[in-house]
Amino acid sequence: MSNSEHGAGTHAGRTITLSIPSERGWERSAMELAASVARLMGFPGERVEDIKTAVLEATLNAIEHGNRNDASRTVIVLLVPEREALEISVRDDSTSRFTNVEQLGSLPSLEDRVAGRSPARGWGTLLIRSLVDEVEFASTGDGNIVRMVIRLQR
Amino acid sequence: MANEAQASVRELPPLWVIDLSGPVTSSAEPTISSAYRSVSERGGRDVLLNFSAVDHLDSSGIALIIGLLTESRQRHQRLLVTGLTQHYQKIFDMMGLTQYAPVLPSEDAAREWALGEAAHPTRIENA
Repeated sequence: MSNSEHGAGTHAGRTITLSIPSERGWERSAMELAASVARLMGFPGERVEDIKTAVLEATLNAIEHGNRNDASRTVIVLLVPEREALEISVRDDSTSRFTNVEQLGSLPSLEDRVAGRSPARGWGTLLIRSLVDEVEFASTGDGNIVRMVIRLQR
Repeated sequence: MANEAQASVRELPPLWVIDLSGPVTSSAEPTISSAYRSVSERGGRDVLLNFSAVDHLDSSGIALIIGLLTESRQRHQRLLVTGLTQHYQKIFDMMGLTQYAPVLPSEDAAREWALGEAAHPTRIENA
């Protein structure tokens, strides 16, 4: 069966849900699940890698910044394969809202960071924005959500 | 969870090679920093980070590499990179890291680069 027969059409409209504890390491399961769904939909290898990195970063953000590495709290990853795109949402259950930096992405100066004048961290949001076709950051009473859309045809 | 990063050091004159494996994330910091310190203590000037056995790299791992660039600049060392997949090479390019740490296609190419630089030095951002 070809990817197209096997892919987006067959799975369109279904939602795949993953619930993980907020503990470092579990982000890899979100990454691998997203990669598996993307391959089934027929995404080319390089786009699968983009999706893996974006999901990894969004999930890490939810674990570390949203749920503060509290393993008793849950991060939910929702994957919705549509005919033309994969929609992925990553949700924490934090009561603290995204900061502007998390939503907009800081614009890190690599020169400052290499020179040791500013912290080396903070690249996750920038990576997500660079690797997916659409991204939205939202904060609700139930937590923060990063919603990403990756299209099959760019 | 298991599956930790590993780093081992070997000499490939004029380079010192740090072979990385496993996930390069924040938890790899002690392992990679220790390997880097060991190279510095032995007087290594050109240090090649070999990513060919790395299974993934996240933003905290990238921050760790930026930390090594800071240290290499302070110690007047040069940091080179090889073994990146096409995807991670794209990310290094996108972030501007290749301006500070040249990405070479192989160890041999890195060795030639270092030998050429020794004979005809050009300025790179971390040198």
